[in-house]
Amino acid sequence: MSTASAAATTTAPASGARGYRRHLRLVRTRAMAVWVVVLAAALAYLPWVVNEKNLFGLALSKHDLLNVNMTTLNTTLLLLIGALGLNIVTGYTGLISIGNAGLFALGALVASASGIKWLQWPFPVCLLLAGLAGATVGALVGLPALRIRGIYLLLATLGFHYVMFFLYGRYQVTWFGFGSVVFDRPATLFGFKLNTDIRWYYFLLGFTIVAFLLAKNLLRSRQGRAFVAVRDHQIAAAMAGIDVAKTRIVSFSVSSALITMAGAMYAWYIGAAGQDTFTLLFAIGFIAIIIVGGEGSLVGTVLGAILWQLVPRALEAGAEMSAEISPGVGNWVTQWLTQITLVIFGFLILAVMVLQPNGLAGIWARVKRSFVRWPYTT
Amino acid sequence: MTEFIQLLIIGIAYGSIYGLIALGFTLVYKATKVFNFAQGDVMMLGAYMGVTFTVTLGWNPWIAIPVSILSAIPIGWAFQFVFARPLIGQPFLPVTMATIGGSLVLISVIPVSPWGWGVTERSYPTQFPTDVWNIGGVRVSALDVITICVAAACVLAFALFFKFTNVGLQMRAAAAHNEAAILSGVNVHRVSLLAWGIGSLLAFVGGIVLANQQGNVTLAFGALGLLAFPAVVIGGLESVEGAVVGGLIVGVLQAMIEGYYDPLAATSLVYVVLIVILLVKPSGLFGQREIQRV
Repeated sequence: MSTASAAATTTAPASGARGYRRHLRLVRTRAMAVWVVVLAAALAYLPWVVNEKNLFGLALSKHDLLNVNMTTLNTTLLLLIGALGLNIVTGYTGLISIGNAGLFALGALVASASGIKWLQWPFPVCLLLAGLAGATVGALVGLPALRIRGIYLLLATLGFHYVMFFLYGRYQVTWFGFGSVVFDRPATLFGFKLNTDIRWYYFLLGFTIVAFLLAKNLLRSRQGRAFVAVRDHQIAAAMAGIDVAKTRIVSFSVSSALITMAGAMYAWYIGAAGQDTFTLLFAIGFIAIIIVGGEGSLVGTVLGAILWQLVPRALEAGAEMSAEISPGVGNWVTQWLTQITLVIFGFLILAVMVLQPNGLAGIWARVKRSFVRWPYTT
Repeated sequence: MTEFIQLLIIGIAYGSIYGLIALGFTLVYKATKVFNFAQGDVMMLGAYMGVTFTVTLGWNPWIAIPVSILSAIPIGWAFQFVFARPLIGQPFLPVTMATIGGSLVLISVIPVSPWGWGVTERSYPTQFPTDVWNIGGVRVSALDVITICVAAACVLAFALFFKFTNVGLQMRAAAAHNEAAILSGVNVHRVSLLAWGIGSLLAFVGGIVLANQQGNVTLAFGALGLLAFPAVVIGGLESVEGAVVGGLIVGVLQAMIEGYYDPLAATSLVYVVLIVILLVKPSGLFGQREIQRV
């Protein structure tokens, strides 16, 4: 029992209320607290392992790390933030959006305009501005679509994607030429320059944790439960006094804000984002992440994003290793890396939809349950 | 004025291709309630099949084109069997997600295919006459005329089939009320197979005609095929005639924007129209107003 729950005992003597308080806490048990500490330590140590290729003095080769490098780590975190945003709208509110690439482009555009091109505003301000732009645009795009049926969001975001793709291209060609939109000013966070991969990693890790907790808390609030209610049964939700259309628009707006901020950071981290970064395939990638990870599960989104990044890297590592034995296979895999990854994820999406195991999160929960119940597992 | 007519003809030629793809989509959507996100990619696959039989295998075009069009049927069935069949009766979200998975598989299998389609553009020498007639200053190419005629013939054949044959009646029954159709003895599995077969067939015809128009096949065809979605929204999501008219509107709109304003803006402005339609008249031009109380 920690002090917080002891205090709760004095104010709320009824065991039911205490149980409820305890249930509400993010870290509910001591075992969970231990796991959180271990996880935090591992995440903090991870960049050293990857950067120095060294685990507690044990030297690792590039292939031992499955070709994961600092760029992979940071990109995973950035995509993860975007996928968390998408999961709010798809996983929790039950609407398909294919606008992630467009929202990333919007974020990059706002960041470039306010932080590089015309105004040299500080990085956090640009980030907030991007989030604000995302929330506004999300509400506007959601407005026509969401009053009718969920399916129309797919079409509206498809439209938004192409409009944004064009606008971004126009901005890029007008001010930066055909190459890409350049972010040549290092992002500075209250005097702390984000000029190395490791510094970016810690910043992005912090941002991801904050976004994760915000999403988690949002979904525990009245608004979050309204999202789920609308997903599960809109008529029942309306009966319970939830404004269905408003809830959907709020959901899409909140998720868009998060995605746009991820887009701003993504572009700034890469340093040069051309129009062809933000293709429709990029948007479909996010859908793959949240489906394979598990719709409506934040932990699942994390697992999905990791898998999405790990599969091509691991394939590449495998190809390089097998190139010594059979160069043909190795070269073939290296050549079609993207395609193989997409085929794998295409079938994974199908498998998740057909078998309904709630994605990686569901598998994870099942494994955990069978450990807890051992030896009474089936 | 001549320029306007010129653009109108080009627009109708492209629009009839979009109309074919959209018609295929609507048919599948009506009969099986599957929102096939991969319809554009099926169209692209059709264009590549055309290249394979006519160029890579070097068959006589009179055999190669029908064979490549007919290959749509097994391919459509295979797609349905893998990506739609296992999810019969599921809600909208999982069904659509599965077709998005199918779209991912299609676009990545195409470049890796055994005929070496690759990621770069494949040239496809036009198999149709390429004469150009000058009628009062308007240049009319035989290709455009053929495209329009092929599309019109397909739509007409489909409409007659849908209206006057027994199977067509069964399809309409299944689309109107699935359970009532089952009760009256309609074999809905056969109907859905038929819908997927015809739907892919129309997409393949569209893809092959488009490839003949362009003179090449690229992986960008998938994005062109997606223009079927604005077409179905403008026409009304579940309306057969709406899909054709919507396709024509999209094609003409695109040609006009390309001609009078900016070629790069054409696609995005078509999608602006899509958003506006969703805002003003979500049921489209021919769709039935949906009454939903929530």
